[in-house]
Amino acid sequence: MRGKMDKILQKRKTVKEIYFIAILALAILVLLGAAFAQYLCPYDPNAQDLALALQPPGGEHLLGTDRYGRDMLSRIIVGAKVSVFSALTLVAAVCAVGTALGVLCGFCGGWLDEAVMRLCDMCLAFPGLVLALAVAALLGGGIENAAIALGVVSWPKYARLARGQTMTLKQEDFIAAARLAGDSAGQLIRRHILPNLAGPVLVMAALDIGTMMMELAGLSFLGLGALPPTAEWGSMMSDGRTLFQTKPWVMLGPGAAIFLTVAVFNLLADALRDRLDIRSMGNEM
Amino acid sequence: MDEVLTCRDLQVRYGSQQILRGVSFSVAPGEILGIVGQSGSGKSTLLRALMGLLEPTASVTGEVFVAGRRWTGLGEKELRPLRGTEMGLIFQDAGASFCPIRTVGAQILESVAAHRREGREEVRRQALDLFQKLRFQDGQRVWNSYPFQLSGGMNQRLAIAAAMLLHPKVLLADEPTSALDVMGQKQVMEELAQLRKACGSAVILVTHDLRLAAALAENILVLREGAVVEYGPADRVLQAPQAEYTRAMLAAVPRIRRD
Repeated sequence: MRGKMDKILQKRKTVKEIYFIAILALAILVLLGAAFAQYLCPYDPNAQDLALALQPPGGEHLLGTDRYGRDMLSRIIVGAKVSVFSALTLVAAVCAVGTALGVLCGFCGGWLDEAVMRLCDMCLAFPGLVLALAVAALLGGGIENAAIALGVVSWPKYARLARGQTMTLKQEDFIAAARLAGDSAGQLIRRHILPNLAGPVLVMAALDIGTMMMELAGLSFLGLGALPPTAEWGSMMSDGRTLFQTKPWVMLGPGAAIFLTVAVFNLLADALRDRLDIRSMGNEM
Repeated sequence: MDEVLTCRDLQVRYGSQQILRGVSFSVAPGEILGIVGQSGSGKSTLLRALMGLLEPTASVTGEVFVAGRRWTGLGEKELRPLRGTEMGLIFQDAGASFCPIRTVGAQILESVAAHRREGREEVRRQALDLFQKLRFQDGQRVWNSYPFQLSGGMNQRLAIAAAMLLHPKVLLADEPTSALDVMGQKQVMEELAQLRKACGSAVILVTHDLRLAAALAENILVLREGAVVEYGPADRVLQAPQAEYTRAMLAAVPRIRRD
């Protein structure tokens, strides 16, 4: 009976492992595609040919052309570079800053905790995208400014999560035991607190890649992100919005790219959460 | 014989609430002192105060000397190299005293490396030798296990083994058997006795179980609401208790009779 159970568990583990590797491979494929976008484009993404404007998908232009006759497929491929890497850099930056501040606040407490948390409260009191709109409007257009605007509103959730986790972990016996074993404050944070809160923070970050891509696209859609003629999925959708009823491919192409990429990173977050749960590895001896 | 641990008039207060009220006792090298009291009597606070592990909000007065050195008043940095080697602590729930996401071996290595300059392989060899002496089944597998993969009793035995590797002069054990079954209790008690024999360590065994203290300790200290109500040789405390509270505790020990 036990052997049968073990076999079923082993099979489930293998399936999970294959699923994780498949999703990870997909995410890496998206990243590689974005990194080498310029070599994958069938056409120059910025080359205009008004004679070929608004061609439907099929034929020479697999996903059709936009109002300036630019190849949609090429623009979507090149757009991945801006959309995906901006989102990745942004998530890496806010995750690092937010987590570092949160861990320091949770570990040290005192005035630092008070000051940072009140700042968090202020940032969280505004609806995120509205505050980002205000910051982006203040800084002017451009994908960098849009990323800074989103960064300003996004770090508090990491700080909150990391602070809460640190405060809980600080009370655990194993932290007291590590202090007894001779760990300094820095060692406690590096060896015990950070690895223990890495799971939830990484999952939040992986989920955030999708969210950030959507929000960057949102800002670009509103004209506060990437500036023309830069190919970026949000601004491409914005370009095509007036044509949606008559030439839907101009909007659907970048929309589908956003949807699929966000889906890949969300699935990756999900698989990562399962994978980081070390307790699912084995049973009691 | 010189005492290895002396505690003089230890008082701990959180705001207006007094947790410990002038606790004094001393422990000789190799002695086992049983500290007995009900839940809430201040036993765990006493251990944490001895180790210097209380939160900064606690106000502590009195003196603690370990191997001739005054511990009270020492800062975190000065206490760091002393904890573990001069005085170690075994937690009530040893499973929770190991980091859940790292292997037991990695944690033992780290704790020894913090106190002694020895190679990883050397520490691992010493630990596996000790596991063998303590009759752990499949020591290598235990070394590579995560705490959640081991039973409560096994984690507790590992905590004792980890403490033994540092050869502490005094080992504080906070209710080390309260979460274990009878067999686990027996093994843990045997290993504490072995620790004393192998390292000459004094042991302070904190428990609410008078029978356990009676079985192991040479001296017993009875704590009630943070104050010492009785302190003396185990035989005298058990057979001719002076305090009414000790008599009540002894009377409350359940005896199983078959009619």
